[in-house]
Amino acid sequence: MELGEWRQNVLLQLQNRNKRETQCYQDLITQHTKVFENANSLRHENLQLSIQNEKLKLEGGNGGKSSSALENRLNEEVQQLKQKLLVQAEELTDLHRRKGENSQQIIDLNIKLQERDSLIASKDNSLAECQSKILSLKAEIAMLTQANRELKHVNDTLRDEHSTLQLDFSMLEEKLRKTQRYFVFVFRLVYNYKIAWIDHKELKEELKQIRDQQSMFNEELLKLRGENEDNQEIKRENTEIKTELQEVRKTIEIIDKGRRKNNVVMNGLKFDNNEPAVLVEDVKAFLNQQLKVNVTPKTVTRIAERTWIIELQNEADKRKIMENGTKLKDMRGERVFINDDVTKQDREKQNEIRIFANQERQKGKEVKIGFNKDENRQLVERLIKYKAKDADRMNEENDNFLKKRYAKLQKDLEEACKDTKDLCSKDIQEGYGPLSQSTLPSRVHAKFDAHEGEVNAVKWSPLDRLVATGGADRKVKLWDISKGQSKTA
Amino acid sequence: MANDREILREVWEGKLPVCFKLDPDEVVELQQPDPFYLMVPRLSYFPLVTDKVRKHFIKYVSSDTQEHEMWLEYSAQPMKWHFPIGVLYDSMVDSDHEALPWVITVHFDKFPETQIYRFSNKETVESYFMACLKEADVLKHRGQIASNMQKKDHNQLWLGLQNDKFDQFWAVNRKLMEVSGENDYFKYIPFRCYIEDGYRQKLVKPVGDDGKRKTLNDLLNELFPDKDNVTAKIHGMIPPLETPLQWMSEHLSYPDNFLHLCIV
Repeated sequence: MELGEWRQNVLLQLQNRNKRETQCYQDLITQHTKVFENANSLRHENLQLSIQNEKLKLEGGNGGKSSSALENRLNEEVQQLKQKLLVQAEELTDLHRRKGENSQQIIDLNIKLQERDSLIASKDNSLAECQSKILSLKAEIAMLTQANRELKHVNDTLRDEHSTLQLDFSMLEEKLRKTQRYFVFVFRLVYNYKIAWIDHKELKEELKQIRDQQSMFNEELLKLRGENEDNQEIKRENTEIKTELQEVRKTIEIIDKGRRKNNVVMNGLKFDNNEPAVLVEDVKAFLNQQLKVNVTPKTVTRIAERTWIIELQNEADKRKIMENGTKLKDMRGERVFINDDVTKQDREKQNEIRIFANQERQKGKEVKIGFNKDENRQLVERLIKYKAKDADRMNEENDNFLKKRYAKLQKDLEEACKDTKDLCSKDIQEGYGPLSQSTLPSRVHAKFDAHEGEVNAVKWSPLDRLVATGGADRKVKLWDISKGQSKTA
Repeated sequence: MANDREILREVWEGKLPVCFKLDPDEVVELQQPDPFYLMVPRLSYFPLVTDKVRKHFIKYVSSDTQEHEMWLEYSAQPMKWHFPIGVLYDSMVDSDHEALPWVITVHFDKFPETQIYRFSNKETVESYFMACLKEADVLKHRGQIASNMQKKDHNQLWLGLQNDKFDQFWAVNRKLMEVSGENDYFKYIPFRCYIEDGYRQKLVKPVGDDGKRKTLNDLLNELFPDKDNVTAKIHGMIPPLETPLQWMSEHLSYPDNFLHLCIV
């Protein structure tokens, strides 16, 4: 692009214009602006200062430049104070009102408070009561616990005492037993000794008497030997009379038996009619009816209110009745028994047989009592044998006793004959010896294999020849001494 | 092509010292307010620079007029705020006889609604500015460049002007000053020629029908064919008559891309 003169012209003009219009005023106006702003701010400050000054002046006026100003100020103050007073009076009335309300509230609250107080007081009272109760109860508890403790203590002491006493008691018992045993022993000794002593004295005297009597007896013996021969004759006569009497009795018995052989006694029945012929028919009917036996009795005799003796034709009829007699048990109502009419001796004998049979039965033997059978006879024989044995044993024992007695007597007599000096001490020693020796067993009688383990107890039976043993195997066994074996376990 | 930065810079730097004075009739305080001095760019508009002035004077006016719009008056004529300041100065002040600073009277009351537009805020000024810009572009390039611009480019243009940022403004404005396509010249030269009662506009091509470059003289002749020795003033100077129109439009246009020529 070609740059002509016009462009230079334009540029120049523009530069001139700027110089003229802009550059010379630029700084001036910026400065002015600054100054202007400063002036503005200063003016503002000035305004504020003047306001402050005014205020200060007003305050400074207090110093009393002029009385009127002071008065004005005072008036103003008075006015202000009056206003304040009014405001405060209003406040006061308001407060009074509120106070009234509050006092009303206080009264209400006081009433409530009093109610509460009374409630609290009652509660307190009850509380105090409860506390006192609690205290008393506590005291009671304490007392009771104390008493309990004391009682426990007492109980303990009592128990202790009891145990000690029991111990003492057992000891004493033991002692007592020992002393009793000893006493018994001593008593026996003393007794023996006394007896011995008395016997000794008596025997001495008796010995003298006996010796005297012996001589007298010897003399009498000689006299009696002479008389004895007369007495033997009388005895013989006596025995003859006795045998005769017995024979007579036997014959009577046989006759009685024969008479009563065909008789039967019936108990329990009552017949209205007493005529012999009618009675016979009645009995016949009864027997036929009840026993199913067709028998015609010879006679019927009354011996008691309801007891009848019925005489039969023969022994066969009687046997029939007796064999069927048990059928009467089945009869109802009246109890009727039919028995054999026997002699008194026979009855006793039968009773004996019955008792013996019962004994035999208890022993386990089968025994039957028949009617007039051979077995009965056997039984009777056996009974007689037993009785004879018993009699023999009794005689033997009596003989033994007499022998012993005699032997003792003789011994005593011999001892009495000995020197009576030093007798006391010897007697005691001798008495002591045989007693202690006799109680100690010298040999083993029987041996039992009783228990597994220890044997804790052995006791004799007071009645039988039995021994009871108790062992560690928790068993009790009974032993028969004679057999040497356990009966029960 | 607007590449003569020296000229552009000089044009941009142009500022005027202004002394704002409040109308004494409107002062309600006892003390008269001090006048407010301010350097205002020739290329800017009064509404963009008078915030401080308004703030300064508003304390001195009556409270019922404080909310009113402020308006400016010089030698009994209200200022047309939608003209650039430089145009107003060149058209209204006889710079040869009147000394600087430019004394302007500030009014709050009695807004002359018949003579000037009301403006509520700066957005009104912006929309007027952008309308002028687009009109100029339509004249130069049938409106293709401005309409193709993005919103942020428009903002950059406006902010550059408002904040007096030369580089920010010209970074976008140079696109508007480019010649489109194979043509070496604008289609028409956007210009306004101010005479006493208003301005004149005409479609003037930068080159003649014979292909010769047109000059300022040609333009003035076309606009005032019956007058001789017409002197046109722009940016406070009188460009030579032989200055080519294309170059003038590129380098001496106001930010709204118009050549505002004041006839003296």
